[in-house]
Amino acid sequence: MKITVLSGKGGTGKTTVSTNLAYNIDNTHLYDTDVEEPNSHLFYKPVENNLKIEKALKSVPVINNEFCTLCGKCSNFCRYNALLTAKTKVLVFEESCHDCGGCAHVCPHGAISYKDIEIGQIITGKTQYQKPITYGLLNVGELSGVKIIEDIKDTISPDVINIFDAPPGTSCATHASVEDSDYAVLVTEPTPFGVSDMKMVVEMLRNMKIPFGVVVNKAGLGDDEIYEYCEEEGLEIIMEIPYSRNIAKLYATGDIFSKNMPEYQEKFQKLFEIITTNMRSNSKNI
Amino acid sequence: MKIAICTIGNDLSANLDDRFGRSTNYLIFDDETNEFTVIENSAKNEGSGAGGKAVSLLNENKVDVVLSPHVGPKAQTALEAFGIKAYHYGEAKTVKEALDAFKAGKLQEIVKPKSGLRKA
Repeated sequence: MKITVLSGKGGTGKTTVSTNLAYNIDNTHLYDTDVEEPNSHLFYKPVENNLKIEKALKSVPVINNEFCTLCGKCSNFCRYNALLTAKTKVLVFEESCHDCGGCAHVCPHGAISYKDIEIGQIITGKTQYQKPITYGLLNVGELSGVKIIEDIKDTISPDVINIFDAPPGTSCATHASVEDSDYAVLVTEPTPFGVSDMKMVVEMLRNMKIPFGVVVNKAGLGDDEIYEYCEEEGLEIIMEIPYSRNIAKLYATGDIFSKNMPEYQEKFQKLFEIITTNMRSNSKNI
Repeated sequence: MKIAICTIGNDLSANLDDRFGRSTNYLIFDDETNEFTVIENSAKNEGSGAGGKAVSLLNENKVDVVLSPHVGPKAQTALEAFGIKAYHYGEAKTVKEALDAFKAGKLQEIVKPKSGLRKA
């Protein structure tokens, strides 16, 4: 089972929801795929001296000038402009490469091979409660974390409840993270930005045919637009977390707030029940 | 010599564009004939790597020099590979002002920094 927690706007509470959900449900594995700035591990702390750290690699083209005729087929093919056929050689912009393998395929002279370059790390550990967490970390200067997210997705087990903390927005990285999910939890906040950015995510999830429910975080802040929008669109609000000083305080100390607020342990368990029920009825909210 | 200028318009009195790779148009001035043509920048809507593609377009139009604002690192690598020189248009506001300043030798060449993130 794979549940992905995502949001349109950043800072709405993806990490708050995913860490609390993973903490309160049995047999979970939490994955932070916001590889540009992962933060789940700051709350859902893996034991430090027992981390498994793997290199995340990306294959980028290498041009063999002996065979290259500067025909330009590779650079015409690359939609990310990672290749540019210049006067005496083909330039390779490694950071723009999305590792699709297409350029070697279209090269009529067999002049393109690939080399691996390190673009980040995938770190796995267990919390003191023996709960596993994996997070990706993209190197500074790299353009896309999609490859790391794909590598992380390849490791998930169907026997556990995989909870993915997605990058914000509707970028390629968010798409990669939420792809193949059985259910998505859309975290939003009752502010104009919260609503506006959420609309794009709703469109994306409907396109991808992934069932989802809405969690309103910081409820009580802002206005009613979010509720009006959800009603108009027929979206189910599956949980509300109030705008509360106590929750903010616990968050600020780097703690999982429900650990210290037992009434929320039940609420997150209840949230999981709603998710699994909705998942079974499947057509909900698509 | 053919001189390209980043512009939002279609003639010598037009304002300059404040981007290089995503410039709206390039006005290409031939200083031997004193004539110019304007080309639309077909690279301006690229998802990534517009700069490199724009340099390629300038090369197809046999441009020797480009008068531009700040040039991104990939575009700079590409300019070097195609042997096109870039000069910062400085305080100029219109195509004509930029051209006059260039002819008077008042513009500064944009050179590639010795270090940075660029790997190509």
